[in-house]
Order: sequence, then C-alpha cells, then structure tokens
Amino acid sequence: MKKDINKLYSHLLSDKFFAWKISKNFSNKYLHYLLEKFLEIFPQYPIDNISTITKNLQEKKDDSGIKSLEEKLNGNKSIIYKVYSSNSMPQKIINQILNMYNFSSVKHYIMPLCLLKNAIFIDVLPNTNFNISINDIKKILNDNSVVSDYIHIHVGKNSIGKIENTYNQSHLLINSSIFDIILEENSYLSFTNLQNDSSKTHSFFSIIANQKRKSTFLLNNIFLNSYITLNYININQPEVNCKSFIKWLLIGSKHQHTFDTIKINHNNDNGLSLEDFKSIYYDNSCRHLDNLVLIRKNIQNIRSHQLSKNLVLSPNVYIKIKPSMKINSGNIRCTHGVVIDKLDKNIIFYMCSRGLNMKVAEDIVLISFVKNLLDSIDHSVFQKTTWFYLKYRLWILK
Amino acid sequence: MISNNKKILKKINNDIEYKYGFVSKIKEDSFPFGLNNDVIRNISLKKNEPEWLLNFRLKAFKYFEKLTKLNKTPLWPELTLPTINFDNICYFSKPQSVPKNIEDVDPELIETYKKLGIPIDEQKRISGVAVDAIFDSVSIATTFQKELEAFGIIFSSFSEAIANHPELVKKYLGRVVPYTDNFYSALNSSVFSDGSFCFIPANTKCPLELSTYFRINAANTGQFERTLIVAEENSTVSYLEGCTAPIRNNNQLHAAIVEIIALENACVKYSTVQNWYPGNKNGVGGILNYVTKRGICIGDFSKISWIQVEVGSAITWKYPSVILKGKNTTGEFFSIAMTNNYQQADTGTKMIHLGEGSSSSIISKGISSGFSKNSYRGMVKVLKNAKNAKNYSQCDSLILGDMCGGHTFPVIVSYNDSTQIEHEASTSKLSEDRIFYCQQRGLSKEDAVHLIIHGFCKSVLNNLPMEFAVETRKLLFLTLDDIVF
Amino acid sequence: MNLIIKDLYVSINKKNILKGVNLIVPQGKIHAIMGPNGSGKSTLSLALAGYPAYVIKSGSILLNGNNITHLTPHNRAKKGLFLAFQYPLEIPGVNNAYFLKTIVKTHVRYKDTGAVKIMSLIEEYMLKLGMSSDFLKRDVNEGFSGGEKKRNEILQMFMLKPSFSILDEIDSGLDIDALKFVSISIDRFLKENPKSSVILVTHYSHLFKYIKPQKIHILINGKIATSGDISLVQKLEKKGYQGLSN
Repeated sequence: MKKDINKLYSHLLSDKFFAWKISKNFSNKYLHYLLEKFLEIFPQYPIDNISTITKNLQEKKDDSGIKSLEEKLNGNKSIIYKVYSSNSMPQKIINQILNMYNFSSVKHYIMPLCLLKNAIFIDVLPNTNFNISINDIKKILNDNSVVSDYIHIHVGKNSIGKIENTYNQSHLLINSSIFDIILEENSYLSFTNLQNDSSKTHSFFSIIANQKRKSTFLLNNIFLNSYITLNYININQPEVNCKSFIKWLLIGSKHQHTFDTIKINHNNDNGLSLEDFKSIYYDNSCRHLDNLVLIRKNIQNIRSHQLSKNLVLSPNVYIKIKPSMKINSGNIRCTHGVVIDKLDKNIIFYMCSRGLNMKVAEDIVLISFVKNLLDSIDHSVFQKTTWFYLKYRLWILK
Repeated sequence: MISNNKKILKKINNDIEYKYGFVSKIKEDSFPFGLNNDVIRNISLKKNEPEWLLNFRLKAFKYFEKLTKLNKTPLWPELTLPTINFDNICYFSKPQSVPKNIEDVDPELIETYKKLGIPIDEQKRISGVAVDAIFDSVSIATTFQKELEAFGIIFSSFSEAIANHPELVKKYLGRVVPYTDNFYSALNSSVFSDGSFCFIPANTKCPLELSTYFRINAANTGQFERTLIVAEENSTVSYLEGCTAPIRNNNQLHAAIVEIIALENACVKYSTVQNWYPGNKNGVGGILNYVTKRGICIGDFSKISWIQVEVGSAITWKYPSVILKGKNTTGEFFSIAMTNNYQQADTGTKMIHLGEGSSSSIISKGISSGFSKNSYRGMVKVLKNAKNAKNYSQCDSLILGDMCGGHTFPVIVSYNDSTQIEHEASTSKLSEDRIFYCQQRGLSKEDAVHLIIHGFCKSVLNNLPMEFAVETRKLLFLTLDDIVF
Repeated sequence: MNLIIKDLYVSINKKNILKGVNLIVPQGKIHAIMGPNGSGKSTLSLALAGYPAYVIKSGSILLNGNNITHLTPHNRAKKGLFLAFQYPLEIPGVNNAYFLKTIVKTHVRYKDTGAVKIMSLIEEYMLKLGMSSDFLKRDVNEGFSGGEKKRNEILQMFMLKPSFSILDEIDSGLDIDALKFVSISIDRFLKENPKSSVILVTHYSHLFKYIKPQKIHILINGKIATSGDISLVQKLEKKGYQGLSN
C-alpha cells in the first residue's frame, strides 16, 4: 500500500494540481499523512487507477476565456462572481481555500482538494432572489477530461434562490466539486446536484455548509452513474432556528462504488434536519453510507429525522449503512430508519395478472419508488432532464 | 419545561441506595497479585485440571501477552476506559471452605445469598428454579442437580463439569468465542476460574429455569467466569444470570465469557439481570463489566434469545451476539440499559446471518440520565449465501436531563438481493405532556413515570422468564426512582 | 361542586395569555366558554388542570372552597377535577385496559370495588358509548382516530365520575353523527350526576343543540369580554367575536 501512496503522491505533486500548493503551505509530510488517513477510511479506493489518470492529464489550459466570462457573469449587479483558474490563483485565494479546512474532516475530502484546479466565488448580496447554474462556468474553466473546482457560495441576508450543479460529460475522468457554502440570517438556498458521468469517472462531491440563524438549506442530490463516487456533506447549525433538508437519490450500476459521509452538527436551539435517501442497486454496485447526526450538550428543541430506503436488484450488490446519532441533550426528538428490500414479487404478479408485461410492471414499481422524492425537488427544468436520464438509465440497465 | 428538568437534576444528586453493597466476612484463599505463566499453572493446579485445559490456558495467555505488547486497547467504543493495571489484580480467590454438600456450606455464605433474595439451602429453595451460586469465581452450591440428572441434563459448575464430563467440555470450549476473538477473551481464557456448564441432551425440554448468581466479594480480585451452554437437537432451556457486588472505592474487573451452542431445532433463552455496583454519585468505584457473549445456531431451525436488563456496573461493555449458521435459524436480542451518574454503557448486539432463511429481531431500550453515556452499538450482517434473511430492529432511547448522552451506532451490511432489513431508532425525552395527562387522571408523578417507562420497556420485559419478571420490574423501578425523584 | 376563578393571570414562556379571568360556575351547572383562536381557551383549561408549563402569575382558583391554585395536577384530580383533553395523548406500550384499571384503582370511589366489578363497569360504559371491545387490547390512544380519542376521554369521565369537568373542544375532530352521540352521552352523565358541573370549551355552537348550557362566557384576548345566557349565541352568530367585543 505504501508504494501506491507514494506513486499517487508523486503524480499529485506536479504543478498541474493544487496538492503542490497544499504541500508548500503545510508540508509534504502532512500531505502524505492526510493521504494515508484518507486511505484508512476508503481502503478500497483504486489508487492505481487515479494514479494513471493524473499521470496522463493535459497541461494547464490558457486563461483567455476567463476575463470575458467574469464580465458576462457580473452583468447582474446583485450577484458577484470572481473566477480564478489554476494558472492565475493569487496566494490570498489559496490561503482562503486552505483555511476552510477542519482538521478532523479534511481527510474525507483531501483527494478532491489535492486535485483542485479552479476557484469560483459567488457572492449573492442580501435581499436578492437568485437562480444560478454553475454549468457554463465549469465548462469554460475546465477541459474535456477533468473538472475540478472549488466553489464558494455566500448567500446574503434574506436572499432566496436556487443553485444548480448539473454539469456532466460522459467522457470525464475526474468530476470534482468542493462547495463551501455560507447561509446568512434568514436566507434560503435550494441546491440541486446531478451527477451522471461514465463508468470510468472518479467523482468527488463535497459540501461544507454553515448556517446562520433562521436559514434554510435544501440539498437535492441525484447520483446516476460513475465509477467511484466519494461524497462528503457537512452541515453545521451553530445558530438558532436553522433548517436543513436533504433528498438523495442513488442508482448504482455495473461496478459503481459510492461512499457517502454525511455529518449534521446541531449546535444550537430549535434546529431541524430531515434526510430522505432512496437508492436502487443493480449489477455489482456497492455503497457505503455513513450518516451522523451530532447534537451537543445543553441544546433545546431539536428535531432530526433520517430515512434510507434501498431496493436491491442484483445478488452481487454490497451495502453498508451506518446511521448514527450522538446525542448529548435531552430536549430533542430524533429518529432514523433503514429499510433494505427487494422487489415485491406479489405486486409484480398482481400487475401482470391485470395484463401488464413483466418489464413494464417492474418499471412502474421502480419509478414509483423514486417518484415522490423526485417530484418534491423544486426545480422544474432539472426535473425534466432527470426524468429523462432516469428512465434511460433504468431502461438500459435491464 | 426547562425548570422541571433542573428540578429532576437536583434530585439526581442523591446517592443510589445500592442495597447489595454489603461485604461478607468469609475467609478467602487468594493468590498474590499479578499475572504470569506461573499464576496460570497454579490456577490449573488448584483446580486439578487436565493437561489439555492447562495448554488451552497457556496458549491464550501467550496471545494475551502479544496483545498487551501491541497496546491493543480499542479506541472505537463510546467509552472513557480507565487504565487497568493488570499486574495489580489478584486472579484467583476462593472461599476457604467449599464443601461438597449444600448442608456443609458456610452459613455466612447461605446468609449472603438469602440477603440477595436467593435462598440456596435445601428448605428454602425456590421451586421451579435451579440455582448455581457463584461466590468470588467459585461455585459454592448447585441446587436440583440430582433431579436434573434424571433427565440427562447436566447443570453444574464449570470445574465440576471438567472433572465429570471432560469430553463434552473439550468438544465445545472456545468454539464460539475463541481466545483470539478479543483482548478480554484472551484474558478470560487464560485465567477463568469457574462458571456454569449446562448440557441439555437431545429431545429434552429442561423442566426448571436454570440460573447462576454471581457474587463478587473479595477486594482487588478480577472475576473471570466462563459459562458454556450446549443444547442438543430438539431441546429447550431457559437460563438466567444475576449479579451483584459490594460497594468499593476502586474499579473491579469482570471479564466473563458466555458461549451458547444450539443444535438442530434447539431453543435457548439466556436472560441477564445485571446489578453490579455502579460506582458512587461521583463515578468513583464500580464494576467494569467487559463481557463477551455469543451464541451459534449451528443446527437448522434453532433459536437463541438474549435478554438483558442492565442497571449497574460503572462500565458495561458487551455485545451478546448470535451467529445464524443453520437454515431458518432465529436470533433475538432484547435489552434495557439504564445509566445514571457517571455510568457508561456501550452495549448492543451482532446478528450474523449465514444460513438461508435466517431471521433476527433486535429490541433495545436505553434510558440515560445524570452525566452518563449510554450507547447502542449493533451490527446486522447478511452474508452472500444467507438468502431470504430477515431482520427487524428497533432501538429507542430516553434521555432524562441535559448532561447525559444517548447514542445509537447501528451498522447494517447486506451482501445479496433477497434480504429484508428494517431498522428504526428514536431518541427522545420523557414527555412532560404524557406525565401531565396521567396526573390529571389522578396518578401521582411517580406512578405516571412508572407507567410510561413500563410501557416503554414492555416489549423487552415481556420476554423475561415469568419467575423473574416481577423482581426485575421492581429493580427497574427502584433504579428509576433514584433517577427521577 | 362549584368553581370560583378570581383575577387569574397565566403566562407561558414569559408571554401573558390570561390577563385577569374572573369566573364563577355554581354547583350542578353547565357553562360554556367560547372565543376566537388565540383567546386563551385552551390555556384556561390546561391552567385549571395544573399544566406545568403554564405559570400562574397571580389570582386564585377555588374548587368548592378549596384553594387549588398551587396544587399538583394529580392532587387536583383527586379533588374531583377532570379535563377532557383537546388533543389526548398517546402512551405507547401501555395497554388501555390496564390504564383504565390503574386510574380507577387510585380513585377513592372504587377503593373497595373488586377488579372484576371494575372490568364489568368498563365494559358497560363502553357499550353505552358504542365502543368495540378490541379497544381494550390497544395501547392508550395509539393509532386512534380523532373520534376514538374523544370517546376514550368520555369513557374515562364516566369511570371517574368527576364533580367538575372541563371539556376542551370535545366537538373538534368529530363528524356529525359522532358529535351527536358524544353530546347525548355527556348530557346523560350530567342528568345522572346532578351535582356535577361542567365547563364546555368550544368554538362553535353546534354542541349546544344537545347540551344546553345555562351560561355562556366569551373569552377574548385573555379576559372574559361578556357573559350571558344562550341568547348570546345568536348575537355572536350575527356580529362575530369582533362585533361582540366592541
């Protein structure tokens, strides 16, 4: 294993990647240590595979498109964009990115951090209604094989809006986004993320969200295809009256490996967190879900509910789910539930007996399984695309 | 609402009246402190053990030494573990006079057990319950042995079983919990002193409840019991383990192993009512209860049920588990864990599904208060060939107060597509509104709390053998009263 | 049994809800309290029963001359006070039959009655209320519909025979038939126990078709705005709460 880390490490340390900047700001030893910790959490991570990818990546892109991109984006006075590509990232910005990290959690997203290329800063001014899509920005900043961005989103007081991250290319080798989200007082953000890459893609998705009082955060995640997906979600509620809602759909197929780590920290009164996971597994897919709700001492009136429903459609599927609750206060009400099930043959038989073809019957069951979840995602354009992808996915997976 | 919680917290400062905290004046034969190969040889010698058993102990000790060198104290449990100086413990202590007949038992010992509510003298035996009384790691009396022998049932102390039925013990010892399993199983396998052995032959339903009462008395000794229960084809047995210990200022280690083997169509029910000294209100003293309990359902259609009510001990660290090897086997785990003051509990179960059609149920109820930590840690693992396996788990926690912790760490693993697993957990506080509703109907606050908590724990209590249900409920409410009032 | 409330001020979480309520309900009478949402009707009912979250800042409550202002809820219950909850609570794991037997056993009235007689009384009342016997096997209020929960409250009232009952929105959540049935049962109870008094807390006057209150009080903004006999209902229907308070 040590040989592999060294190989990976040497490929990451070229100035193609952010890893070089990390090792300069901290030290080579520290970076090495973090990569080791990373592999302790994900021992199955295919280092060889990513070493090959990183070794063969193209050199840096030129920055010509960036200035005009920024100008175009900043047409709307109430949302300020700043965009930096790996070539032209000032030290101040590098420091800002490195400062976001929290020693105890960085090992979960050290890989995407090392592979970072671009930084995008979106500042939504107070009292603004917004509807942002990050797709175009990503397209311009990245090349055809690697998408790797750090996106900082600051939603000002009383602002309400949506952000969409649905950039997918079927030939991407690495698709990585690290989001650093700050929600100011009384703001509302509905964040929708769709990942639908190829069965060769390494996908990384991290969100670290800090909510100020009375803010609401809706996170809608749909994962349809990749080779290996590492997701890290950390939602902090350090102030009162915060609400978080997570909706998550996963369809695992072929040799897809998904590792999801979710941490919700309730650090102040009157918090609410609701999590709804629905997954369908085919072929040899495998999934690790580690979902922790943490409630500090002396906190009043917290409600937290997690539910994970899993439908297994192949005998070679491996699932490991760890819904945990660490609760240190009394005035709370928390629940969690996990259901692992197979297709109900009785329902299929009933539909067949009413004249439906077995495949159609199965289709109906699968779609109804995910329908509620999808319909509740308040993003109409997204919904249409998702339905299309979903049906296509379910069709070709049969 | 908050002011009420503060009132409850104020009342928690009263010391628990642990009525079993007395010390009996019994003369003991004890080894000097410390652990090495010689101590082990001496233990084996004192007990007249055969060569094979001595070798078993020595192998286990070698492994234990290896683990100690590697400093393998685990960090994963949600517990603050005190460092144990293994050289500062006495590993063998027994009352000087251990007679063959109950008539010759030291009257002080009989008095001890009477105080605990477990009469062992012939006249006052609890009918319907056979008792193996273990005092400081040594079995001093076993009631109803002869009557049970008539059925072919062997119920005796472990030492007696080694002397009288060595081939049986040799066949099954360590098969479920090998000494390599974990740190404390290695320790126990080296220095275990006594325990109970129970063998139910094929096609026999044990007519009595079998039980063992563990009583720790001597200071600074560790308790390392070993219990082995073998149920052959079509047999049934229900077994109860009860434990108490005196109040002392330092921690005492209790590292026991319980192994259960169920052959085809056998049914074993193992209940524990644990009331070890929990330490005083400042967390000083108390028993360290590190136990490895495991059952294996080898034969098809067999069933093992673990039922535990844990209200004592400073640290409870145990995961009674079932390996469901045979087809259509059933594993059950019912638990109530109550912690107060500075107690810590990290308990739960592992249900490993290997056989087709295996099913398991887990119902766990935790009640935490004071500054205690109460965690449920469970694993349900369905392996590839366990087709059509089913599991249902329900883990509920009640948190009384704002300074205690109630945690849940379940792990659910599935390797195939015909599994059906349903897990639900909830954590909440004692509803003030519910208490008020009962009070408005004329019930006092005590009665209201008893009623609600009884309802909370009912699904576990209903599974206890009838003979012990009443006493257990009393114990539960006594402990609860200390917490709430 | 009569009830005298003098200058009652009640607050919750530092918010003042009842701002000086004065009320007298003489023995054997039926009074109704009506008022718009947020006027403090439920607060009054719960404060009378002794709900711990409600703080009585000043004033007094006298039940048949006994000052119950600072008594615990269960001591008030022992003095003959009964509250039929607007939202009866579920108690999971606690069997209905067991709960009924427990609350009855602690009651002075049934001190010398055997368990068998108590069960037969329960069954008799259940029959009168149109409740099926499997209700006894279920847990208290768990999975009960609104109507079933209200019937459970009335059943408890029949068993305990309180001298003073407060029925908090007994009509809410009931369909027309159920409402009729429950009202007739209450009316029968009152006729069979002429010394019992009742406060009916309600929004609407439907209930009065079957149970005729002698007096109606209108509670607005934490105080009794006006009181009158049943003709007040018609005035209310014409002018609404707003109109009456002016």
